[in-house]
Amino acid sequence: MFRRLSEQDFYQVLEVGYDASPEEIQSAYEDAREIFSREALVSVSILSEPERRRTYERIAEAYQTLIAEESRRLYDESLGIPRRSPSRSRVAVERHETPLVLSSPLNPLDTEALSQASSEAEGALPSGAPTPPPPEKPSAELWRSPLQLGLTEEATGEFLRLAREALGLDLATISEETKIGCSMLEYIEAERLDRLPAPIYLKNFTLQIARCLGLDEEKVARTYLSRIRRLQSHA
Amino acid sequence: MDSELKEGVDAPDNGSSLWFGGPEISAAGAAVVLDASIAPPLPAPIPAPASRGARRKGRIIAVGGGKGGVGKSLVTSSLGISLARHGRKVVVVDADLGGANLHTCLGLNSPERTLSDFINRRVARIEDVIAETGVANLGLISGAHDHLTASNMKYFQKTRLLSRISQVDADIILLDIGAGISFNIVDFFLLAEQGILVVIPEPSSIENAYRFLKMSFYRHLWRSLKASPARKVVEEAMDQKNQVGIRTPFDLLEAVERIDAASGRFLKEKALEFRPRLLVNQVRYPEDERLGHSMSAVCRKHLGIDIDSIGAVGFDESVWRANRKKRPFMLDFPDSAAGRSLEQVARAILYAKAPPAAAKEARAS
Repeated sequence: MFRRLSEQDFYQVLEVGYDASPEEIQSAYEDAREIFSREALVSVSILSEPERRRTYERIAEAYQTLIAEESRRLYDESLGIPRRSPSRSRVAVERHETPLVLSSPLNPLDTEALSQASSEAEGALPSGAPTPPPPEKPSAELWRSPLQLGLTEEATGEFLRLAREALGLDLATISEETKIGCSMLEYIEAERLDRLPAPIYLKNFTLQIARCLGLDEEKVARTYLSRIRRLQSHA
Repeated sequence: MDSELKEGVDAPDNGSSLWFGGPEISAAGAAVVLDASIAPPLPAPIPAPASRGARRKGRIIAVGGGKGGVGKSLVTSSLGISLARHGRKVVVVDADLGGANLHTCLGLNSPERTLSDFINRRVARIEDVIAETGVANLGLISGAHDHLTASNMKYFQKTRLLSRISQVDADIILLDIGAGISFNIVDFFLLAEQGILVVIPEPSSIENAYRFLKMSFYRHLWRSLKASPARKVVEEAMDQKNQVGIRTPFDLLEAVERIDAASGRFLKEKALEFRPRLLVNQVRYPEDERLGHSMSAVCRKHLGIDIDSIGAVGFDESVWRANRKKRPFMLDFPDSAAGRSLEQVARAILYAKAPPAAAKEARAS
């Protein structure tokens, strides 16, 4: 295929098929990210820094669009790709090691997980109860930001940053959990109007970030988006 | 490579890595061998095809690298020995005009007759300059040492030389190409039917390999345009600091299309024909093995060219030991880590098939 990167669709950018599973997208992205990172000899030997950055950003954009089911569906529609068969995509999601869809912190399961985590921390497991297997790694389900939006407050980039810092989490961790690139997380927190993606993607990202931080996701996404829209109209 | 060459070969698809074990699989499907002590014994040779002859296509393979000291001569001589041991009739040609030393890698003294004698018509037939190497089935055409005749050949002289070389009666002809990116070097690389580019995991080698790829790609396009007015655009593009703003092959194709849409379409087809393969040499760490895969990803995205990796060869002290003794490495250390990897590359050559025409068309659309 002899086509510029900017003219390739997101599947071509990541070099995956149109029916690629989330794992395939994930691993293609990790490969490409390694190759086009700032430190990578293979790309800096031939690309100028702006060229390398453009490539890197295009790959990140492709990944962010395709890894989230909703934005991928919309993107597929825009390309005119017929809907993927639900069975395949469900199987693919189930096989995925890190959950793509984090359950809401208000979910009863999570409350259990929370209390379990705290009792484990104190070393005071209820006697007689079977010992649950320890979680393999800290999961987003255990996080619940001490900060919450008031009734009339809107979610700002700064609020998201404070909520994150209140949990002692860095961008890399959020990125790992949400599969949103670190630079995109930064743009969202900094409200970089020139860098933010189209509303549909932005909504998805803020939903995921809020879910990860244990915030009211619907409210965060709705108010953050309306704020950005307002700022853009003034800009 | 012509499918004929594959005749009589059993189970070509089970991947040579099965014989050698090891968890790392390179882009070519062959595992790099970094530690020979844990690898099983060498496998049986691949039997030669029943039909043989000089008219076979895809049997001229050029080994280049853009940079000196990356192991081109070692790779060429080792592949030659390996392929000869599989029963193929092989001739290795030292096309490093001006800096020939392939004979040393084969443990030979400077042969009496060289390419110079043929170029200057001191001998009538190219067969007259083929020297025996002491290895059954393996002949050597030694390079010209006399710099003036060799390095300043005209394009038609190179074409003539190549056409004579291609008439040599052999199953496989390996060309050891010199360092650099001048047309002299690049043309030999392009005139062969398959190209292998040797690269080592060092910044200067990677940089030169890219330059070599870009220059030979442009030269390939230039050659295919023949007398078209669009040729001028390609010439401008070859000047890296050109004033017309052509930085990548994509820019070039657009510039050509603006002048002449038909030439643009033609060049896009020609672009797909350029498919050299990368061989990563002197791998010291498992992650270096991925260099071939990574470089080909960069080439696809930035240059629009599709190059595959043909394998990776580990850094190996025994190469140095063989060289020091002036002994052919592949004869003395076939069981070493590097020897096993080179054997796998030789097998990849024997198994390789030309991309089917249908697949080519699908890619073009």
